[in-house]
Amino acid sequence: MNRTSRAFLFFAAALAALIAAFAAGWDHDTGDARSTAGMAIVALLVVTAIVLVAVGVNAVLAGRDAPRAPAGPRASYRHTVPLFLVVGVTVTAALTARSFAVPSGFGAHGYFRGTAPTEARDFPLRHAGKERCAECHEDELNLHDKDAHAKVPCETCHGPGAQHADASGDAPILVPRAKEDCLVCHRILDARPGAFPQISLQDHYRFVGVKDDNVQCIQCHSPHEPLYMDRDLRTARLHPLIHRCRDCHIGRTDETLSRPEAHPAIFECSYCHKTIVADAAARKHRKVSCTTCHIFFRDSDFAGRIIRDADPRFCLLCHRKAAFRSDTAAPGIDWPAHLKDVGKEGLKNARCIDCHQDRIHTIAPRSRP
Amino acid sequence: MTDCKSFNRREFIELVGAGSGLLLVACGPVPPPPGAQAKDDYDWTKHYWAYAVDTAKCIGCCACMRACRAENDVPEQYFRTWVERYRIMAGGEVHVDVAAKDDHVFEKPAEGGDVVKAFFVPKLCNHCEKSVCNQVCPVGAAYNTKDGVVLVDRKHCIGCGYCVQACPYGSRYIHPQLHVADKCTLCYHRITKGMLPACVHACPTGARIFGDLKDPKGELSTILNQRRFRLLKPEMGTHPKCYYLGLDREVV
Repeated sequence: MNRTSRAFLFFAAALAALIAAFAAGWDHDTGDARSTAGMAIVALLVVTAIVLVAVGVNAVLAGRDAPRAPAGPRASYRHTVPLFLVVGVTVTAALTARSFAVPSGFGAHGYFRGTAPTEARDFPLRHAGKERCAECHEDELNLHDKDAHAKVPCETCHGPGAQHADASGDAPILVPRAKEDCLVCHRILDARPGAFPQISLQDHYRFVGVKDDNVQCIQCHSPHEPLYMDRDLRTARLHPLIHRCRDCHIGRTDETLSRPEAHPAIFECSYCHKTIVADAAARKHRKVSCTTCHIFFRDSDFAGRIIRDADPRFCLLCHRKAAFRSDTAAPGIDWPAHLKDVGKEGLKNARCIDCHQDRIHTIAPRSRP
Repeated sequence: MTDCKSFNRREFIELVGAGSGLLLVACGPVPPPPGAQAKDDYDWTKHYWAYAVDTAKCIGCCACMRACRAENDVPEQYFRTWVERYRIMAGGEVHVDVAAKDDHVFEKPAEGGDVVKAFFVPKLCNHCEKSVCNQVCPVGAAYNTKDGVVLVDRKHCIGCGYCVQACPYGSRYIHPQLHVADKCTLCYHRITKGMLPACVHACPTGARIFGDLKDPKGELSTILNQRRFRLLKPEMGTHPKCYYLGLDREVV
């Protein structure tokens, strides 16, 4: 084998080393650079390639200048030692410097610190989730899950609760009570979807007859069961009007309808209760407006209840026998002596309307337009 | 034996070879450090997290913003997620605003005018498949995890802000105290434990949907199969993974 062909062997070996370097340094599956060790191998292979090329070049030059050199002292390569020393020291220094500069694990999963994702998982939890809430507040959660706020997570209103849950309730948690807190979601905004219930406080207060601006939403609506009345009045649902907002408010409504002043007369009782309103107009209570009985019974501090159970005490608000009442006032009734007078003594849970329903109105099925 | 002053070609090559071998052994094979799956049985190759926003369901309550702030210690006046209010006036003028005050509550806009169309659009990091923010990071502090989340390595970031400039969605900021880039992590500490991101967790109307693209029967895959969606700035070639349902043409 002559020198030239040997030189080509060296070149081939150098090429192979470079290809190996490329293969070792680059992960084709992910396109990511490999680890520090991989990079060191790359550097070594590159150095080897350089050496092989140098040797090959040398062989070619030696072959051209002195074909078949006479036997004797062999060619010395001593003069190349400094070159390789410089290359070696530089590579070693670079690798050493790199090992300090590059954090450990860098490149294990890509061009980033391999442990960084694990560290990102270590962040503490702040939101606990309703399963944690249910550990102590299961009853509240059961009620919540049956009403309109069922899909509103606990922590949307109460804020992050992990601390509270971890401390078994000793750490404070947000308990929003102000109407402004409800209005965060329920304020009327033009950008809100039309089907979402939005309240104008002014109109709502006027509608339910609340005169005091300080009345809070939660005084009538339990936040956990917003369609029910407050906790003590769970048996009475709010007026079905509330359910029926959606009948009209699906999607963006016609502008002429969405302004309160241009609203159709949905707030007239007769709009839905034609039969009953017409019937009541022919009875003794015709001068009593519907809302006197149906909207505004003040039970303790809570306003806005609709009377369904017809407690006699309610009728007695007007009909209690009292010396100061004028002749034109509603007939005074002496209760419960009245029961004895009419021979119904001992009747438990007697209600005025059991006998006197004809004075009010018939209870007919609701008529809808 | 080799003369110490001169050595022939063969000996020289042997020397270089032996030296290389020694250096190789010295460097040694370093075992790769454990990835995100080290602590438990979470396997990040089995998931590919993505996000969808149903804009028609957003009521602009900004519970997501408050939840994100609380969950991730987001500094005041900076946002990892935010809700934009678009109001399109009769003249075609578009007003966009954000509830940037501390409590993040949208008030009635002061300026009147004839509003033709109005809606909310929640925004967050799009966790792009080909994230530009990561490509420009000079130190490898910004990266995509195998499960499809774009994260910042706070220990490694030098705070140069190049990624903040690069992100076409404005999802990044420089943390005012830590002086590193900060952004939505999709609540990586929650989703890798099987929980929802805080913003999805807090959303009362289901406008924000989080899911796994590797789960073909999952909620997100179903939605993407059945609904029509749009991406933000698809022309940027970032392959965002935040899918917007019912997005208006005005939104960029």
